[in-house]
Amino acid sequence: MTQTWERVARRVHGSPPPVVITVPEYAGLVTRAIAGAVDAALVNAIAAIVAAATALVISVFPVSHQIHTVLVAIGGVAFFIWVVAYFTTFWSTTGQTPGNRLMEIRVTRDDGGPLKPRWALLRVIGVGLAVIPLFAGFLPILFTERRRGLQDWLADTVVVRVPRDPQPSMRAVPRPELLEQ
Amino acid sequence: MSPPSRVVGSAWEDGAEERALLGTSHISRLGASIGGAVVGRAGRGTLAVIDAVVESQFAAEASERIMSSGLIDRVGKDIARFDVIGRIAEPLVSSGEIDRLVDRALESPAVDRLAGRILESPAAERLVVRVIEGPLLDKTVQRLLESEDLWLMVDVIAQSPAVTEAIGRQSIGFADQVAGAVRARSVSADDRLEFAARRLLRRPKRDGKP
Repeated sequence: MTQTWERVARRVHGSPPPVVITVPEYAGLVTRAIAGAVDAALVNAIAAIVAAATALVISVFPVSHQIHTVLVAIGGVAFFIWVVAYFTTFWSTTGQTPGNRLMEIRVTRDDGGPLKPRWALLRVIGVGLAVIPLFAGFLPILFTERRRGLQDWLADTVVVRVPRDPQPSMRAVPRPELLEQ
Repeated sequence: MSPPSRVVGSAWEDGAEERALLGTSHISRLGASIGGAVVGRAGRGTLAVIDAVVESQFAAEASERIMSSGLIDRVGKDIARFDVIGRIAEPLVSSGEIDRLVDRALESPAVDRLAGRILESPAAERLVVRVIEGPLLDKTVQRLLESEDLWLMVDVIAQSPAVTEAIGRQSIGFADQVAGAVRARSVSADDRLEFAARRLLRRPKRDGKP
């Protein structure tokens, strides 16, 4: 009833409707760590299966020590490409890796839009950089307002909760930078 | 004197024939009523005689003699020898009369009452207990378990789409339940960890957080 009277009063006075600022609920460090662990397990499991199958096929042929070293190097490169492709593909398409889907979180751009492949690639590099100093790159998630880590700073992304409904869960919390405008 | 043909012709002309027919009809109705009364009285008299005979001492003695004689045995043997029961039952069965009788008997409430009394009786309970505790059930189960048909049936049921779908749905439901619990706990863990970290560094709480 109050909202109806407010709408009438605003129409009489010609005032624009109030701007309701809602922000998504950002995922925290623990949730993201669990999702990352699930993804890591999946990536490694698939890689292990492929590696075992490849090794079985190669074992049929006589391979010298030098070729063996080369094959190991090729395997390492393939694993690296596989990991980068896994995260880049999922983040730039649905915004959700299987781990993210399990934990009902999604990687989006700062403005809520989907990630382009190059930004997703940059985010993968950011994750690598965050891991190098003993995972210290993830600590900003604990202290920033939108729970952003180093990879999020680099790729200009956020990680939001997306419960079962298609819309991300919204919480009526004012965004500091929008309120300042 | 006129010839007979003339007389008949005149009688026709005077409607004498109609009167003659009416007279015949009256006579026949009168005869029928008298006959019916006579037959009715005779029948009642006969029934009274039969009642008197049946209730008499003579009839009782006659019946006793017949029953104690070998006549009954001979009659029984003759019934079996000439397949009297089969000959009576065959048309009843072929005509469906027996089915109708059975259906009518099964549909009657008396059968329900009888079945209820039998099932609720202590005798039925004792019978069930004896069957369960006796060796019959054990032997039956043992033979059932030894039969290959049973395991074939179990295999068919286990591999049926309905059962596999139900198991799959149950597994998915369980996985969803576990994932939901993990998600709920991770949300509270996020907040706790963040609260502890901010407290450690004496930083204010995040906006909108409790």
